[in-house]
Amino acid sequence: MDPSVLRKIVGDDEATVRQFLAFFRQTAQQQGAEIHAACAADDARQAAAVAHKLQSSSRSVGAQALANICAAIESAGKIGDLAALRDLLAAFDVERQREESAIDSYLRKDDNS
Amino acid sequence: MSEARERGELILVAEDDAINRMVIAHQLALLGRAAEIAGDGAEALRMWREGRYALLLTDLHMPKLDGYALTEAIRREEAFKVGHARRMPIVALTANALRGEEERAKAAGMEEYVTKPLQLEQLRKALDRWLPATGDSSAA
Repeated sequence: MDPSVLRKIVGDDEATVRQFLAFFRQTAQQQGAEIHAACAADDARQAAAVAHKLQSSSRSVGAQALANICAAIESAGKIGDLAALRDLLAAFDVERQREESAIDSYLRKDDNS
Repeated sequence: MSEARERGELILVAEDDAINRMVIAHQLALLGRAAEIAGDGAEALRMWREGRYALLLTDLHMPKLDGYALTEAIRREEAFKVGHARRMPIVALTANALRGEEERAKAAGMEEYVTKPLQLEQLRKALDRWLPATGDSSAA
């Protein structure tokens, strides 16, 4: 993630930036679980719909790699390609966890100015 | 809120994603604009029918009623709405710029098409294009 991307969107107030990052972290975790559940239930359309949302918020916090994987999940889901969807899940998990750690370490720091 | 409505400056937002809703609400507050936010297109249509808004910012892909259908419904009903003097500007907010989507948005009756994430400055410019200047500006 890249806080400078987020600052251009929500402004420079540090407390606000942190609040959005924390909310994004929580939502990404939840939506990640929803994407897994949709794939397990062979519901490709649902996986695409959730990935669409996560793609959008990932771009807002500058998490481009995660956004790109979400875009790939969305495309595969829209055409009902369950095999491709399942192949993307591993990369998705790695990237989501990487962003989660990055956000955690950012939020642990007292001062980011 | 009712003050902004009376001045004809209230903005209606239709957005189904929680984070995007939070972002747009925060941005509009920073820019000194009053807004009401609907969680999907059907709710936005209901609010539009009952209220008076200067501008609609709408996501394109939403459950129940998407941004295209919402826009088409508003354009159909607008002509018959009491006390509605002019065409309300509608700006589409979309996450992925798919080919042909902008043309489709304009064909449905939207004035402008912007891609999320929307930077504060981009939003400010879009609002300045479609809304009267804010009432609390220092210009006397």
